[in-house]
Amino acid sequence: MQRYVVRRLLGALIVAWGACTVVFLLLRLSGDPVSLLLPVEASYEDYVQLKHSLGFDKPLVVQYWNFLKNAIRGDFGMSLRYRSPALPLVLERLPATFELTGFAVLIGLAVGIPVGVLCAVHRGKPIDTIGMWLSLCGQAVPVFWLALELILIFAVKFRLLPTYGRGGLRRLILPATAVGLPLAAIITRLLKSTMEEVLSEDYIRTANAKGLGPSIVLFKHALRNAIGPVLTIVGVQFGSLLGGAVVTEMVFAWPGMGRLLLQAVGNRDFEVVQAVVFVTALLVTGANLVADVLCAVVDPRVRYE
Amino acid sequence: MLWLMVVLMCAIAPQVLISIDPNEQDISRRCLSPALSATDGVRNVLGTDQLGRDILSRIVWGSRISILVGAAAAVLSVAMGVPLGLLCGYYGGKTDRIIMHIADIQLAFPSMVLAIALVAVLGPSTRNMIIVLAIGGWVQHARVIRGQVLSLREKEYVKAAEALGATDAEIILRHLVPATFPTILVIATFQVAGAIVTEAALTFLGLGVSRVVPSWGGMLSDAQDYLVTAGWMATIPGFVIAMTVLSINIAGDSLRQAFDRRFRDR
Repeated sequence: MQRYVVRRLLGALIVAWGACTVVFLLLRLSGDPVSLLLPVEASYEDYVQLKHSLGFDKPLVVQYWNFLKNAIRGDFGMSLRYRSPALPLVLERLPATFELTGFAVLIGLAVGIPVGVLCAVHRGKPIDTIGMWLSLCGQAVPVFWLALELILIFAVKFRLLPTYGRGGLRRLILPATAVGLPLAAIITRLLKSTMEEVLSEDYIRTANAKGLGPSIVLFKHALRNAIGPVLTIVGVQFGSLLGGAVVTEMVFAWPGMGRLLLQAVGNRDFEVVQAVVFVTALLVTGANLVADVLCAVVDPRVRYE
Repeated sequence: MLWLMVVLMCAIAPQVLISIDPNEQDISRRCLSPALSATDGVRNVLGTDQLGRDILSRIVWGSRISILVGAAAAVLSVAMGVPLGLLCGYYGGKTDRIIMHIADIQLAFPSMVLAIALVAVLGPSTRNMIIVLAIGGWVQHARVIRGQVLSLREKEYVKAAEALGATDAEIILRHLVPATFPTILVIATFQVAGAIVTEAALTFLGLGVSRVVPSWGGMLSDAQDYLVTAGWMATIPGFVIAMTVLSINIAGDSLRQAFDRRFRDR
């Protein structure tokens, strides 16, 4: 298990390296980042000076080597907008994004698991059909539209919840619901099919035959065996959750990493973009690892080499 | 299905379906709510936006961008991913390992963040967005097709073709491509839906198509500032996106089922 975790952590670093390299190369190959940074009225001397101070006058290989050397030390350069190191800027925003995505996962599980179980138990009945249609729709709805509609219903119409900023549960509910509901739709569909499979197993029949109560059979015997794939899919979906969070953070003015990324894109603050890409890659691969380890904890049959 | 046909018709010939110009502004008629009856002689069935432009007309014209970007991105992903998948599956070896490693790295990375970072570098435009979406989509084709080719290679008819002295190119083009075609079509269908959502999201964030062109994502972006006074400005385009994506997904599902059935019947 330990060796597996170490190997996966190395894999995470490789992903982060690959993602950063792509952004680095595209940035250098797709034109001249220096001229993008300068105001229109800048002189040629300004251009040469900035190019030199940013190291863009060196050969590409040297630039890349310097970039890697600094990146290993956690130095992604200075943010041009905030005039402070890029990585700490990103890490500062991380708790807000974690709060949002973490709560969204909770909502996804809290909605997806009961609905998925209900659909599996009442297979073929109206409740199953409705549940499956809802989850199909949930997967088709764009996150940012969901966010706008939630604002329309809960803030504009009924004036129940605030719509912007961070602080307290009340401000968290709407954005987290917008990010979490599509996840709930995916969990519902997945759990329904795994539950149906598990419910037709021999050991469920045995449990029923020896007279155990239906809720014990359902939750202790069936759900525990069907939950593994759900955990895996939460790990796999963590990336698109982060993607959804980027847009949602913008709609709700949530001070997280996604909003920082969009602001950085708007300001052509490429150092920050690179740092966000690096942190995201580590987060996503980390989330997959956590999901796999949790799988082994919940289901002792799962063993990793 | 019906919905999909309507959307396609809108995208192909918007001028036939609706006579109101999507960009015609009329400040005196701004933020009119949807109504069947005409106000001052003009009928805005789905209401108007903050500049007095007809929402129905903008929806109809906006379908062009969505369908164009969705279809172009899917075609480009096929063009990038399928040849790579065929080569990796057929020849294997070092190239295969390298390409699959790249695919793994990309799969581990959230496509939305990748798209934003790429648009940041390339600059926002319709063309760049298609490229960005295709870069996000090639992996699926490459991986799935590679897997299929690995198993197809062991089939009798491929072995027979080899024994009869067919060249690699002949085997790939005449036997492997037709055999993997259903899979390609199904993946591409789902990709159209995904691309439409991502396009709308990027445009919504101001990183997509130009705001001059009517687009569903752009309409939602405009609507953001008018949620209190003109909620329909957000509800209508979002509903249209969701319905379009839903019907494409259902179409993809039925395609897959149809191909599965045909495969079983053989």
